[in-house]
Amino acid sequence: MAIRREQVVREHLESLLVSLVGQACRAPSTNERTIGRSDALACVEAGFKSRLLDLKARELKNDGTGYYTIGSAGHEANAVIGRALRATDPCLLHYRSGALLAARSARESGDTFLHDTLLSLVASADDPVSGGRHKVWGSERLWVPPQTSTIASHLPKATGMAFALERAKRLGVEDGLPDDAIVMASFGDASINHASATTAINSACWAAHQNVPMPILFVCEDNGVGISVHTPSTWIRSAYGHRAELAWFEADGRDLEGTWQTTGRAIDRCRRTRRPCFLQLHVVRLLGHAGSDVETLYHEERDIEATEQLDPMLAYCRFVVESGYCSGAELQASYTAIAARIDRIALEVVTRPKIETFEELVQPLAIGPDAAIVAEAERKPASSLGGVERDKPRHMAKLLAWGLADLMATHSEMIVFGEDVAKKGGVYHVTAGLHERFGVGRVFNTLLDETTVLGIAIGAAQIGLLPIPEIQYLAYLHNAEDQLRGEACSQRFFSNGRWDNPMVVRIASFGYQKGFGGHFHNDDSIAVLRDIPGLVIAVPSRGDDAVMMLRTCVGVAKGARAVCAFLEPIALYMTKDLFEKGDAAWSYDYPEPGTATRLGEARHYEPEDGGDPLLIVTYGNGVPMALRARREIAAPVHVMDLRWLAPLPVDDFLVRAVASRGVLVVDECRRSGGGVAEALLAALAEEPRARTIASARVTAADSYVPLGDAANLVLPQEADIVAAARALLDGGRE
Amino acid sequence: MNAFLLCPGRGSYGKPELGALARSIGEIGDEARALVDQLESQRAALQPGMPSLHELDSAPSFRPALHLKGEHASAIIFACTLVDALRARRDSHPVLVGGNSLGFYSALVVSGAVSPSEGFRLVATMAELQQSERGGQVLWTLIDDDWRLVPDRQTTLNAVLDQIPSAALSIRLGGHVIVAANEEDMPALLDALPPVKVGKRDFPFRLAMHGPFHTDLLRGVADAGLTRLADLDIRAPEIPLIDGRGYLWSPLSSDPAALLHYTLVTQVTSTFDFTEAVRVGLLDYAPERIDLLGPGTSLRAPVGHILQHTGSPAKPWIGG
Repeated sequence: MAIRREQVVREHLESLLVSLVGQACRAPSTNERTIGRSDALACVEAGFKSRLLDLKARELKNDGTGYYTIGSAGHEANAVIGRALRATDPCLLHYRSGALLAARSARESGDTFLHDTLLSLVASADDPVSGGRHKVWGSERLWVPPQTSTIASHLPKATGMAFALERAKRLGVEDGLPDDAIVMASFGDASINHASATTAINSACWAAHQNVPMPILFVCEDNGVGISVHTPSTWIRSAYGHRAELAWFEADGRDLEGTWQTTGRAIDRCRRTRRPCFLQLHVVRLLGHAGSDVETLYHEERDIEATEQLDPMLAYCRFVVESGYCSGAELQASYTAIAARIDRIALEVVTRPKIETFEELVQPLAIGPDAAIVAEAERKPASSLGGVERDKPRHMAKLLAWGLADLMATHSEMIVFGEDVAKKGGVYHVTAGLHERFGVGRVFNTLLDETTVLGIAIGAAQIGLLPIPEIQYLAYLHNAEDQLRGEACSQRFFSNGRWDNPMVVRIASFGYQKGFGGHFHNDDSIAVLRDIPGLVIAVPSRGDDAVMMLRTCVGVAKGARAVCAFLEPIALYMTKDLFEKGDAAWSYDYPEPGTATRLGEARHYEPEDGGDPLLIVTYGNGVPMALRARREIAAPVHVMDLRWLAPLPVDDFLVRAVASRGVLVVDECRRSGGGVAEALLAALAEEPRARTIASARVTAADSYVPLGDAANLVLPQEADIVAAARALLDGGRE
Repeated sequence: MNAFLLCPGRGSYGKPELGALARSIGEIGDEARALVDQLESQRAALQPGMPSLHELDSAPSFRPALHLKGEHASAIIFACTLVDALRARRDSHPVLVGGNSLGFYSALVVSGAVSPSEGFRLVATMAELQQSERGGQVLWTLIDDDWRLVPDRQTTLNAVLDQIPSAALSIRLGGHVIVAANEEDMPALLDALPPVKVGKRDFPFRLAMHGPFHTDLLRGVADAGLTRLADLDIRAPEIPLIDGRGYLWSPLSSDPAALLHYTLVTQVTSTFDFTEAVRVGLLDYAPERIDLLGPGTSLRAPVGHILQHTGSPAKPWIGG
C-alpha cells in the first residue's frame, strides 16, 4: 500500500512540535535578529494555517466534499512577503500562495482567511472570492484580484497595473492607493518559461529602460519542478540574474531571517526606485503537484523523502524557539488551536449552499443594466471639439477619429494606446490628432507586443482607468488572445463580479484590401472572440454606426463593467462610395455626442418594393456588398446589418426570417470556423416557425487569405451573393 | 463545547441587574469572592471615598444618578463580567474573546492579556478621564421589527453624520448604531435622526450619562490615558482576542506594544465596530456557542442581528 505523503509530512511537523514542547521560551540572544518576534511568529502562524488547510483540502477531497488539492506546502516562505508588503500593494498571486495570503490577511482587520479558503475548497456559493466558481486567492479589501492562471498569464496585467499606478495618479484618477504603492506578482519556476511571463518581464524592463516608472516586484517561487519536469537549479538566475533594468534578489526560503532581510531589501528598492525587481525564492514542493499527482511515477521515493526533510516549517519552528521568541509549548498550542479551528469551520462550510442554477452561475457575465449603459453611452463631453471640419459626410476612419476625440474629452480617465497610435495616429489614422490634443499621458505607443497591450489594458482598468487599446491587425490578436479569454473576460466570472476590467479593444480587422497585405493584414478569424463568455463584439460597417457603436461600447465598459471587442473593417475605413465612384453613398455625417446605438440592435435596409422579401443577413464588409448585390436581384431584398456579433440579435433575426421568402447569410469569415453564419442558421433550424424557410450561406472559404487576386478565391464576392440569392428565390434551383 | 465569549459594555447593569454581582459570587464561590475582594481593595485605594462594589450592588434600589455614573457603572460591570467569565471558563472551552466598548477592557482581562488588577486600573483610569468629557451617545436602529436592515436608514445616517459637525459613528452594534456628538450638537443629533419604533422601543434615545466614546472628541482622553497608563502591564492574550475593528490578536504573535496603543488610543478615538468583531469571530472561529457574559442581556439582540445576517449556526447562550 502506497504511503500517503500528507501523513508523513504532517507527522514530521507534529513530531518536531512535540519534541520542542520541553523547550522553554529563552531570553533572546544578545545578537539581535533582523526579524522581530511578532513578524517571525506571524509568519509561522501563517505557515501553520496554510499547511493545515492543504491537509484539510485532501481530507475534504477524500470525503467527496472538496474539489481542489493544489496546495502551498513547502512554499510557506511566501508568508514573509505577505507580512512585509502593505495591504495597499496590489498582489497578483501564484496558486501556491496560501501562507502569503494568510499572513497578509492577519495583518489587517476582518481576517476571515480560514473560513473563506475553506468555502472555496468546497466550491460553496458563499465563497466571498469567486462565489463557488473556482478556488482562487483573492480579496477586495486586501487588493488581491483573484487569478485563475496556472501559466503566468497574470503577469502581463501585473506589469500593466504597475505602469498604471503612476499613470492614474498623473491623470488624477483616484485608486485609493498611496503614491509609493508597488505591485507584486508571484509565479512558479516552470511557468516563468511561458510566453506571457517572458513578455511581461521584458515589457517591464523595456519601460524602465526609458525611465517609465514600473514599480513591480516579480517573485519566482522556485521549487525546482513543474509537475514532473525538472527546472535546472541555475536556470532562473542565469535567465534573469543579469537582466538589464531588473534588480535581482535571491533568498533561501528555509532561512526565515534571510528571506525576511532579502524580501525587505527587494520591496524597499522597488518602492524607492519605482523600477522592476526580481526575487528568486528557493522553496520546495511537498505533497506532489496536487492530490491526484502520483509523484512516485517520476521521482524516486528516497528523493521525495529527502525533499520532505527540507520542509521549511520544520526550520521555522526550530528558529523561533531557538531565537527565544516563544516556547515549544506555545508553538504547539498555536498549531493545535489552528487545526481545531479548521476542523470546526470545515464542518460548517460543507453545509453551505452551492451554485444551484445556471442563471446564478452566469450572473457575473450579464451585460447590464441597460439604463447605466445608455447613460454612459450618451454622455457628452464637457467642451465640444473645436476646429473640426464637419461640413460634409466623411468616411469611417475620419468619423472614428472624431468620435474617439469626443470620448476622450468626455471621459478623463480614458487612455488610448497600442502600436503606432501616438504621433503617427495609427496605421489607418483612426487615432490621428489624439496625441497632440490629449498628450502622451493619455495617448501613447507601446512596444510591439499584443500581450503587453492587453496586459496594460487589464492592469490599468483594475486601477480605475478606462483603456481603449488598439490591436493593429486582427491576426496579431491571436498571439495574445488568452489575455482576453483567460484573463480580462474571466475576471468578473471568477470574482463573482467583485473585480472587473472594463475596456474597449479596438481591432483593425478583416479582408478585402484588393489583394494587398496577405494573411496578416486580411485575417478573418473571429471565432475565438465569439467563443469568449461575456465579451461584447461590435462590427460597424459604416462611419456613423462606428461612432455611435463605439460610444455604446464605452457605455458597456463603464455602465456594465464589461469588456468589448470593437472590430473595425479595414477595407471600409476609407470607403466613401457605395454604388458608383464619387456617389459618396457610404460617407456619413458625424453623429453628434449624446447619440448612440442600442447594444445588440441591428440596422435594417428595408426593401423598396412590396411583398415578402429575401432576407440577407450580414455584417462588416458584407453590408455594402449585399446592398450592391441587391440591385442585381429582381426581387425584394431586405438587408440586415447585424452590427453586434455578441450579443447577436437573434430574436430580431428570427422575426425577420419568419416574414421572409428565404434567408441568405453572408459571412466574410471562414465557412467551417464555427462563426456567425452557423450560429444564425442553427437558430433558424431550432425555430419552429421557420421550418419551411429556405436558407443558404455565402462565406469565406476554408483557407488563409493570400496575396493578390487569389484573395478573391477565399473571400465572398458580390457575384456569389447574387447567385445564392437567385438560387434561394428560385426554390433552390440554379 | 468551544465558545466565543463576549463582554458587555456600559449600560449593561440596570435595575434588573441589581444584586447580580452577589448572585454570581454565590454561584461561583470562593474564586469569585477572592477576585471581587481584590477589586474592592483596589477600588478603595484607587478611588477613595467612592461606594464599594458591594454597596452599589446591594443598594436598596437602582438609582440612575448613582449606578450609571461612569466610575461606578464601569467598575461594577467590569467586576460582574470577570466573575461571570469564571463561570464561562468552567462551562466551556473559550476559543475567542471579544467585547463591546467598555467590554473590550474586560475582554483584555478575560483573554489573559491584562491581569484583573491592571484591568481594573485601566477601567478606573479611563472612567475618570472620560467623566469630564461633554457630549454623549445616541442609540438608533437600522432594522425593522423582523430585524431586516432598512436600506434607507444607512443613507439617512450618513447624511446626519455629514450634516452635524461633531457627530461621528461611535459603535456599530448589530442592527443598531450608536452615534456620538459633543454637547452642543446633541439636540440637533436627536432631532436629525428620524423617530423609529422597533418592538416596544422608540429610537433614537440618548444613553444616560454616556460620553462621546469612540470618537475623535476623546483625543484628549487618549493623550492623557497614554501618559497615565504607559506602564500598563499588557502582554499577548492567552486566548485569541478580537478588537473593535475585527482585528484578531493571536496568543502567539501579538505585539504587546501594538495592543497597548490600540487599547489606549485607537479604540478610544475611532468607531468601535462590534458588528465586525462578532462577524469575524463567528466565521473564522466557528464557535459552537456564543457566551454573552453578564451583567445583563444587553448584547443579546445585537448578537442576534449579526447571527441572522451571517447565517452562522452558533447558538447564543446568555450567561450571568
